[in-house]
Amino acid sequence: MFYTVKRGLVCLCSIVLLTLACAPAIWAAEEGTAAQSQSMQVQPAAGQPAVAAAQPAATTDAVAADVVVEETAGAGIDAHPWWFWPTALLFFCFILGIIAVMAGVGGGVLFVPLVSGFFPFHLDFVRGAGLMVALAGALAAGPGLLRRNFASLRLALPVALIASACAIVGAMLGLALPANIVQLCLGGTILGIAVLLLISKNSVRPVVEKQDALSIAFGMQGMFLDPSTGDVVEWKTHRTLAGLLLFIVIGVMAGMFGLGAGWANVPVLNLLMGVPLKVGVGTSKFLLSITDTSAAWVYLNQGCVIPLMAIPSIVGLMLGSVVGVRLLAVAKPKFIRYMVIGVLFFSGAKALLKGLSM
Amino acid sequence: MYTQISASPAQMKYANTMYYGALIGFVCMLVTYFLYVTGILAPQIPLEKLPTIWTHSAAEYRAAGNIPQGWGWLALITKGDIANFIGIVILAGLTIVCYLQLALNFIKTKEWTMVGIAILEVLVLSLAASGVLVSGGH
Repeated sequence: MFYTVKRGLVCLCSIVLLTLACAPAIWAAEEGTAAQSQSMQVQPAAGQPAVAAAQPAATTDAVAADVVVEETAGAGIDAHPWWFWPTALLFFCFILGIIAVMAGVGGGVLFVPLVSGFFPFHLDFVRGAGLMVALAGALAAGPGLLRRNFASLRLALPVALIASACAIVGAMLGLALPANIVQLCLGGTILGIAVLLLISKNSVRPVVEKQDALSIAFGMQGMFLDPSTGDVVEWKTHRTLAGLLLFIVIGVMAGMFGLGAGWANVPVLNLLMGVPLKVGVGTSKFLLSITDTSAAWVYLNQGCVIPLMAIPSIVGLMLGSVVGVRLLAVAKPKFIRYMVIGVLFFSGAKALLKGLSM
Repeated sequence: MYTQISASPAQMKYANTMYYGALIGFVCMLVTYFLYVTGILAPQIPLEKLPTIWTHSAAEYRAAGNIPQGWGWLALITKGDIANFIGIVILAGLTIVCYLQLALNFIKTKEWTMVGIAILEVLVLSLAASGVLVSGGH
């Protein structure tokens, strides 16, 4: 048990360190190549200032038709009709939804690296859509989890407050940093997540000898009926302070990369704080509805959500999740889990390479 | 209260608000998306222009499409693409409503620690939603 906790925490910390270590070094390199990074010129219509944010919205009517976007030589203009990529995204997310359910991961963690790697959208929009996808999934699953007591409101409240406040910081940081740095950090994080999924062995019912004072103060305890065994399972948490502190990091990373955070929530709740796996998974999913909300607002207010791509992503992933749940009975989840880990390694490496080439 | 197998009344109320709110949000999102892609509502940014814009950063997208930051989109609500934000905002704002309801429930049961946490969460989410927090962009 101790070893499993230790391995999970070492991995989580290595992700954070990798992310934090990469940023300043790459940022310094970025300063020297800033002039090359500008690959687009946007020319608003005559008489329109370049920064639309300073304009009153009412004056912007019917200006869009005059928008001229010039691509530099070599960047290339997308020859596909406007509906091509949203339609491709719908089907892609449908498949992603099936795989995510069967592999036991959230959609966001697959969505961001894969869509940023294989679709033409800028990382800002991919992260905005990724958060909306994770948020929509959490809102759809949340009520059922709460009603069955698989998600605990009392456990979620303090954790969510920390994670959601830090997700705002992460979102602002992610939008302020140059795209290539975020892409590189994303690559490092995805590789770390793949390692975390590979080595972490969740505990179905961790043994908690003594509930700590913080846990008692917040009422982090409960019981639920496990339908698979018919047992009534009582639970309480320990190492609560350490768990809450880790949610600072989880919140920042969720906001910065738009990944959702199920990949980190579950190990911390289950392995560190001693929450039974079912309650850990359920509470983690519910938590996303709060953590991702705060980050999603920041992205939304910055214009990082393009409905034409975000809505097909949400619909595709949700439909895929419904089919995935049905296929779960006949599929081999272990094989799919390893396949997803392989995909994460691949997409993490691709994100790193993309970041280096930007 | 904590020794019950079933969810607490406060948790059940939260779940119900979340369920109906999400349902309304999803329906709004799908209806406005239909109106947008079928051209019934004219968009702020023409659909055929988007593939040349979405490859660039959000700051460049806002400048190219004259999309205002924060809540400025409300002034453009009749545009097809902007109307989609109604459903998205319902989904993103739902947690604030659920937490307000939760805070009232905890006030009734006099659980002041939980009241404090719920109110703080409402403040955090409201701050994020306000549009006051603007990052530097890149």
